[in-house]
Amino acid sequence: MSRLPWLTGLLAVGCLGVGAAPGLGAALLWDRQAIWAGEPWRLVTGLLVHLSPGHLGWDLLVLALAGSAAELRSRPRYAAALALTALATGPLLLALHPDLARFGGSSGLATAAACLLAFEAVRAGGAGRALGLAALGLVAAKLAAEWAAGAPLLVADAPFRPVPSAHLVGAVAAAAAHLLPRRPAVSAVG
Amino acid sequence: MTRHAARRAVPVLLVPALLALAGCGELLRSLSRSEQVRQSSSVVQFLYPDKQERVEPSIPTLTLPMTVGVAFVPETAGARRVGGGLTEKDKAELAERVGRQFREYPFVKSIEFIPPAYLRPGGSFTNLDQLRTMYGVDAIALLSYDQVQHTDEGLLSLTYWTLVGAYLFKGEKNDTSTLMDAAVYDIASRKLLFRAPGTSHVKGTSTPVNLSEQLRKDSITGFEQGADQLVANLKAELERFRARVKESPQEYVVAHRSGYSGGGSLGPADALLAVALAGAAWRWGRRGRRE
Repeated sequence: MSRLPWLTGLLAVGCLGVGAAPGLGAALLWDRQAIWAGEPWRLVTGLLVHLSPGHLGWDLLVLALAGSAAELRSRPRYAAALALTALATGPLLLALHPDLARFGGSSGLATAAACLLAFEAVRAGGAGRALGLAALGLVAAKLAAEWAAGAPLLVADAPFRPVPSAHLVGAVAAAAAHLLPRRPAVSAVG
Repeated sequence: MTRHAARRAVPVLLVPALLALAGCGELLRSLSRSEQVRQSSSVVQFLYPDKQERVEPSIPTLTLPMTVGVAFVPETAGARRVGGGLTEKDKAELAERVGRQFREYPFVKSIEFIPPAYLRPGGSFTNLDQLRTMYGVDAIALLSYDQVQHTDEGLLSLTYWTLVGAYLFKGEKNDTSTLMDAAVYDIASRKLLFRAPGTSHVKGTSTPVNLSEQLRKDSITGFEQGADQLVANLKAELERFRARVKESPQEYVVAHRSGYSGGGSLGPADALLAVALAGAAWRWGRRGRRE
């Protein structure tokens, strides 16, 4: 398996490229009216579009850090978590948030990567277990707080309403990917 | 010449001499002639026509996403146009440029361009309330302008006496000063949210024959340059306003309506968590614990 996190690199380049071309962003953004008008690709591509420079910066940083580590640990599980997040987020937002007109951001993907690492840490046991549980607890607490407050936490430049559902989808996708069957360990027989 | 002939010659010679003097006087007057033309509109006159009436603004509730209207206030009574000045087409183009600045932001749902005919001179906030009902606008960017054109005659104007000179030599010195202003009001609270100016100064020359044409061109150039500066300043003022809203929650109430833009939000704490998890994963990798 390649030692470079190329999948994460590809995602990062995609987000940056869309950020550099506002016209492209407008064509890919999750937009309720446009989706119903016959542009279904926005259900998935909306995760590459960010609504402010701060939004892009922080999402990309977390995705790069957690995504690289998760990909190097297990690319198949990481890819599964990303795919589940990308495919499930758009339709779920359509169904669960009828008041939402537009949505964007890769934080769901970043959350999936971070949660996948946390699940792996819990499985690893020892000190890693405590770290994993603490991380999962923090994610859950942040989700609950954002839901209650209706405003982004700890983000200075946020001209949008937070949608914690996107992070929840990422966390659930990570859990599902974590539960995928594992290859049995190969032992050397002397 | 006999004395009688000389006496008869004096009145005959006096007439052309007086005419020449009159001509010189007229020439001197024309050399010092200066003309000024002004066309303007005023947000203050539109919103506060009755100087006695007091309008107290209240704390604005900014319900996001907002619908923003863009409109030119009516021209001031007595304003003179120079060959047309700012036409309705020019106003529409400038309103479109201003509207584009607002469209970039996710907290603006839509822009409504309001025809100038819908704003009455001295219409005040009552007029704005009507527009709010008609168009559903929450805030409105009121555009106004003040343009003054001076024309003086320079030394080259002496050539006009040759008649041909009036067609060939640009003895008219034109000066066009333009001030444009965009004032954004929250209609319900009557509060001025922010404003942005744009100025320009166009100098030019022309012959007396094509003076009005040149003044018209200078007028248009003055408005275009003023509009360029106004749009640049508007962008900066919009950013400052956004920062003010975040820093002064007691001065502005922000509410959200359905149809808003949403996004996942991550920040420094999430990045730290990612660093911790990535560090732990790296340690596992070093210990060779892989699937």
